[in-house]
Amino acid sequence: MKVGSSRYLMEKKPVFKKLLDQLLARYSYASVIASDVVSKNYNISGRGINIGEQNGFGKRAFTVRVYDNGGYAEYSSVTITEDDFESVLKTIEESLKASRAYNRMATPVSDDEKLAFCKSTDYEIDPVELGDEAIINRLAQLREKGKAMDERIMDVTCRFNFQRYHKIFLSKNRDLEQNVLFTDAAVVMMARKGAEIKTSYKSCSCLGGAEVLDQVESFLPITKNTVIDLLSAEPLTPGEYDCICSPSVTGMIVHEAFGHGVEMDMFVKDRALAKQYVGKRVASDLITMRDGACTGYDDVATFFFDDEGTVAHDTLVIDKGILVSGYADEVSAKRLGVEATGNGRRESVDHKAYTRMTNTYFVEGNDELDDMIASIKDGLLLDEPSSGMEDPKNWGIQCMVSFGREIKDGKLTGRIFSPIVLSGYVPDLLQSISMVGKTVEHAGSGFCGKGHKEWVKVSDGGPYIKARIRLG
Amino acid sequence: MLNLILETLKKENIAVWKVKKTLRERAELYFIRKQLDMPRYAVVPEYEVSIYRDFEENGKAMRGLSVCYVDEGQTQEEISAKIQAAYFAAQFVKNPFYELADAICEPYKESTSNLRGMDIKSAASALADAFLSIEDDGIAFVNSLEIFVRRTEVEIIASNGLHVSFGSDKIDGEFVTQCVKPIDVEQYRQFSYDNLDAEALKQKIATAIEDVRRRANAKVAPKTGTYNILLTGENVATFLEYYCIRSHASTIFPGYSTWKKGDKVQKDGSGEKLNLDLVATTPYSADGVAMKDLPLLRDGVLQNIFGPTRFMRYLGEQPTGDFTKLRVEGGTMKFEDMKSEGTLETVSFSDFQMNAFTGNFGGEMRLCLLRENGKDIPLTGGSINGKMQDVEDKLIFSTEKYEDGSYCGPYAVLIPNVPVAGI
Repeated sequence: MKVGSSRYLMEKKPVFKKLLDQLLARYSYASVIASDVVSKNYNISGRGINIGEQNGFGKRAFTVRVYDNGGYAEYSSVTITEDDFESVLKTIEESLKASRAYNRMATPVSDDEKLAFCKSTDYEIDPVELGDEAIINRLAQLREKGKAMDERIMDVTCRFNFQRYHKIFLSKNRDLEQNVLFTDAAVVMMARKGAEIKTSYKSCSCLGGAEVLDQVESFLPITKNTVIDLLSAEPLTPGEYDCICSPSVTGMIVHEAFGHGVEMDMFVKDRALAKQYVGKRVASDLITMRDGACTGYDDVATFFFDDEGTVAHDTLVIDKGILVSGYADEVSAKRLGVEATGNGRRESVDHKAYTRMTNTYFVEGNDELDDMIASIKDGLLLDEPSSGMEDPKNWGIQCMVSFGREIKDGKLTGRIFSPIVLSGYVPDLLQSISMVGKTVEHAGSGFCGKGHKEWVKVSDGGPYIKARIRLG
Repeated sequence: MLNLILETLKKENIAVWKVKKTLRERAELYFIRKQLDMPRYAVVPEYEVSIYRDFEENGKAMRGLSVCYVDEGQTQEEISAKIQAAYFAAQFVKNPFYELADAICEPYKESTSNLRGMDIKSAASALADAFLSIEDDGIAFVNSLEIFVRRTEVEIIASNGLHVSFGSDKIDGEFVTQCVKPIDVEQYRQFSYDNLDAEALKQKIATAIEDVRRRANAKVAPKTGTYNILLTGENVATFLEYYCIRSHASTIFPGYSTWKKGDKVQKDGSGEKLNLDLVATTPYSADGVAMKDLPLLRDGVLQNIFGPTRFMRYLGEQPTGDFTKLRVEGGTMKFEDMKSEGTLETVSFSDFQMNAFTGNFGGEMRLCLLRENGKDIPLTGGSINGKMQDVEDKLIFSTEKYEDGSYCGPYAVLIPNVPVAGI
C-alpha cells in the first residue's frame, strides 16, 4: 500500500502558492516547505501505559525562505491564511532589515532547477487501521512474556512508534510532494543488583507500518540473556584491545565517530578535519561507506526530497578506505561549490535546516563472524551502543557501549565487562579494521542531534567488524 | 482557537480534560566567524489536549489518559475527530486512578526576566553586537555562534477548574571556539540565561577562547591509571543528576529507585555532606502545579521526592511538578587548593554522562589539565569511567560558585580515585 496525500496540505497548497507569488515579487528567490504530521507513541512498563500523539518532532508547520542581500532568511509558523500575508511579509522584511546591519556570509542562490513530482512510500500494515487496542495488547503480551522469562527481571518496557508525514516544497520552479510512513519498536529489560539497575535493550525500525512489530518477539530471549549476564559484569581494565563490533556498534562508529565529520556544513565552518582528507585514505581498504535517503537500505531516514527541496541521493562516502565525498545541505553545497546531496534536514519544519545524515552504513565484507571470533587471542565482542558524540575537528572518539564479552584464544569465555567507553583517534580505529562481516544490519530507533539539539530520525549500521580500539 | 477547543470538549461530552496552550516566539541568529549565516524568526502556537477516561478494571478504579495536539486553524470537525480518537485510546490506558493537579485559579504571572517588554529580535541583536565586539588575535576565536531568544506564553485549563497562565523569557545557544596554532582544535560550549546579560556571554566566550588555546597546546592523553578528578561547571550538575533521577517519583513508583524520604542516600565518609535544592524556574508545572523551590537533600538525607501529578499521587505525595534547575549549597575548599599534585582537572568533555540507574559516570576528555610540579599540563583525549557509589562519600566542593540556566552552586567538585583510560 502507498501512503496517501494529506488533505490539509492539498487544501492549503493554493494559499502557499499565492504567498510564494507575493514573495517572488519582492525577492529573487523564495520557497515554502510545509508539513502535516501524524505521530503516535505506545509504551508499556512498570510506570504504566501510554498511548498518545508525539509532539516536537512534527506537526503542521511551514517555513518560508527568501534570498536577499547575498543570503537567506527564514520565517516559520504553523498555518496561514491569505489574511496573514501582510504580517508575514512585514515580519520577513523587518528581519532582513535588521540583518543588513551585519556582514553576511556569501551564499550563491539556489539553482532551483525545474522539477515536479509526488511520491509515496509503501507499507504493509497501517498502524491506524490496526488500532490502539491491538497495538497496546500486543506490547502488553510481549511484556508479560519477557517478565516471565526470569525472576530476576524487575521490569520490561515495550514500545512502538509511528510517524506518517506529508511534505510539500514549492518554489518558482519546484512543486514537490512526498508522503512517508516509518515505525520503530523496542524492548528494554531491567534487572537489579544491589543499588544498581542493569538494563539491556534491542530495537528495530522500518520504512513501513506496524509489520515492524513482528520482529520484537525474537528480541526477548536475547535481551533477557544480556541483562542477566550484566548482573555479573566486571569493570574493564583500561587499555587497547582487539575488538569485534556488533552491527549496532559498527553503526555508532559509522555515525558518531566518522559520519558527523563529513557533514559539509562543518566544511564551510572549517570544523571538519575530513575536509583535508578528501581523496586520501581514512580507513582500511576493507571499508566502504554510504549515506543517503535512497541507498537501497530503506529505513526511517528514507525520503524523496530533503527539507530544502533537494532530491534524495545515495552518496558514496568512503570507497575501499579512500574518502570520496561528504554530504551537504543546499546552502553549504553552494558555498563549497559542490553538488547538494539531499541532506538538508530540519527537526521539524519550523526549525533551521542543517547538513544531517540519513541512512548511513558500512557495506558488507567477506568474513564469517565465527572466523572473526576465532582470530582473536585476547579481546572483546562489543555490543549495545548507549551513546556517542562527534568530534569532527579532531576526530576524537567518544562512544559508549553497554558491554563487551571476553574472547580468549578464539572463543567467547562467558565473562562480561560493563560499561565500556571507546576513545582514540578515528582514522586509527578505521585503519585498524582487519575483518568485515558478510551481512549489513541497520536500525533507526533513536534520534541524532546536531551538537546537543535539533533531533532528527536517522538509521545507521553495517556488518560485524574487527578493529583495534582503546577502551576504558 | 482555545475557545473552539473548549467548546468541542463540551460538545463531545468529555468529562475530564486538560488543555495547555503554548505560544512560542523565537528569534534566532546564526553566525559563522563574524559573518551572519542566517536570521530566523518563528511563531509557533501549540495546543496540547489531554483527554482522561475513567473506568473500572477488575473492580479497580482506573484513569486512562491520551494526549492529542490540535493545530492552529483546525476546524471543529477536525478537533472533534482528534478528541474522539484520544477518548477511544484512553480506554486502553489502564493506569490506576489519580486526581488531577489541584484546581487552582490564579491571575496571569508575568515573567520577571529583563527581556519582558523587549522585542526578542532586538535582544538577539544585542547579544550579537556583544559577540561582534570581542576582539581576537586570529589564532584563537569564535568559529560559529547560534543565538536563540525565546518568549513563551503558557495557559493551562482543566475540567476541575484549574486555570493558570504565565509568561517566560529565555536566552540560550551554543558556540564553538577554535584555536589554529600550534594544533588546530575546537571546543563546544552552550549557554543559557533567564535575563539579557551580554557581558555574561562575552565573559563565557572569553573563557572558552582561553580554554581552546590551552587545548591547542595539549598533545597527548593522560597515562592510564586512577586520578583525583576535578569536574567543573555544567558537568557538576550532570554528575549530581544521580540524586535527582533517583528521587524522581517516576523512578520510585515502579521500583527502579528504592529511595524514600528520610533515607540517608549519601554514604558517610570524609567528604562533604550534600545539601541540594530543586529550583523552580517557572511559576507552574506542565500539569498546572504551582512551583516553588524544594529541598532535596540535607546532609545527604533525602528530604523530598518530586515529580508530575500522576506519580506523586500514586505515592501519596502532593504533586510538586518537574524541575530543571539544581542548587547546591556548600563548598569548603578553594579551587586552587583542590589542585594538588597529580590531580586531573577536566575542562571539557565531548559529552559527560551520568547513568543514574547504575551510578556510572564518564566521558572522553577534550581538554584536561594535569597538575605536575605545580604547573597545569594541558592534555587531550582519554576517558574517565567512574561510579558514584564508590566516590559519593569523599566529594569535596569548591568555594567558588558557578551558575547557568540549570545549575547554581560550587564551580568544581573533587572526586578521588577515578579510573582513566589514556595512553
